[in-house]
Amino acid sequence: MTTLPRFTVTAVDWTPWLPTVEEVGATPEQAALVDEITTAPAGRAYWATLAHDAPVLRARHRLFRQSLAGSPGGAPKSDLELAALATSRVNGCAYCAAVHARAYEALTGRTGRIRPLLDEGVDAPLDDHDRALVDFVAKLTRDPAPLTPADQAPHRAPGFSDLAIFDVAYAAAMFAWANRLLQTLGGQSYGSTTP
Amino acid sequence: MTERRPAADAFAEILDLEPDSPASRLRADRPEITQYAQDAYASLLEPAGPADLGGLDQEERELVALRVATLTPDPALAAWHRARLDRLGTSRELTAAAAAADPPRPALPARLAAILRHTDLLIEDPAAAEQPDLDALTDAGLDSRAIVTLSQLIAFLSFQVRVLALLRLFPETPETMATAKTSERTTP
Repeated sequence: MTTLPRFTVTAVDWTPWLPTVEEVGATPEQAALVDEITTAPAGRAYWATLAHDAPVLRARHRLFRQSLAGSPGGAPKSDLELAALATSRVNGCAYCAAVHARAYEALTGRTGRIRPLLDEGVDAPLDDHDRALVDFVAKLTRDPAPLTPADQAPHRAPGFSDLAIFDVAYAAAMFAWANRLLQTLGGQSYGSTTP
Repeated sequence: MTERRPAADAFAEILDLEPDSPASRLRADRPEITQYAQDAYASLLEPAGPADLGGLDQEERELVALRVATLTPDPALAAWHRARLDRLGTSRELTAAAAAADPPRPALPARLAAILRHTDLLIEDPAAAEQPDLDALTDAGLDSRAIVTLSQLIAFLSFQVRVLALLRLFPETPETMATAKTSERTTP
């Protein structure tokens, strides 16, 4: 396996390896879709790269938003962000890990709590709740094939309903998707200030 | 040979889910995400027409999907795409190459070999992807849109195999039915 990048809570830059639709002349459909998804300059190049296939981006983006939104009776949003973070840590996507580490800290107010996960990886010491969640997510991320009903690791910890497991796994699966897009369509770098 | 028809609910059909199984009940409790996942599947594997196909044709999409199902492995997903390749009339040689345990061989047409090599890379070691890997796709004749579509397709499939693995955690068996009664499943 490849050496993984450095993980940080500070925003990581992303530069596409393909010209964006804005650089080659966006169709009205592509331009409208990028504007609909984002108004901020940060991250715009990513959406303007994916907009080369607008129908796919439109369908995917609704799913992406919903997978982190949280729904009644299931996992809290902070657990969905933790699943996104753990998946990104295993796959080696520093950009996604930083975005979702910040989202986790903003939701929980627990600055520093997940820093060991960034620094040391998914085997870093965690409390029982986070340990159960991260172990389950790491298994699903690394190799989904051998999972069996006996592997519902979060059952070992209190507070995980079947719906919570469903929500957590969906968020992790969504980041199996998101990490790969960031990793194959552009390069990541450190250093510039966050807007 | 059966006529091709769009799948109304590909995830349920691939797993042959019973409507009242534990997995189906969980999906019913999450109607938005379940519908949006189907929409994403349809956008990549059942595009409406030539305009939506762009630079990646249906056979290439099915071969990539068979490759991901083989690498995972997910035999049910592999069978699903084999059946669709049969309906397209794809040659046995191409289907066998996508379903082989080995990396794609140079004997394949260069464009397909490049597509399958990229599939292997993104599934097995996504952190290793570099700009020259995209250049190899460009050299094989893929334009920017086709490269984005291919990347979305491979990444979607890595999502899909994990959702299928999740749904298999909640099978309909006497044992899990007994467990379900004592679990902490809550209703909104």
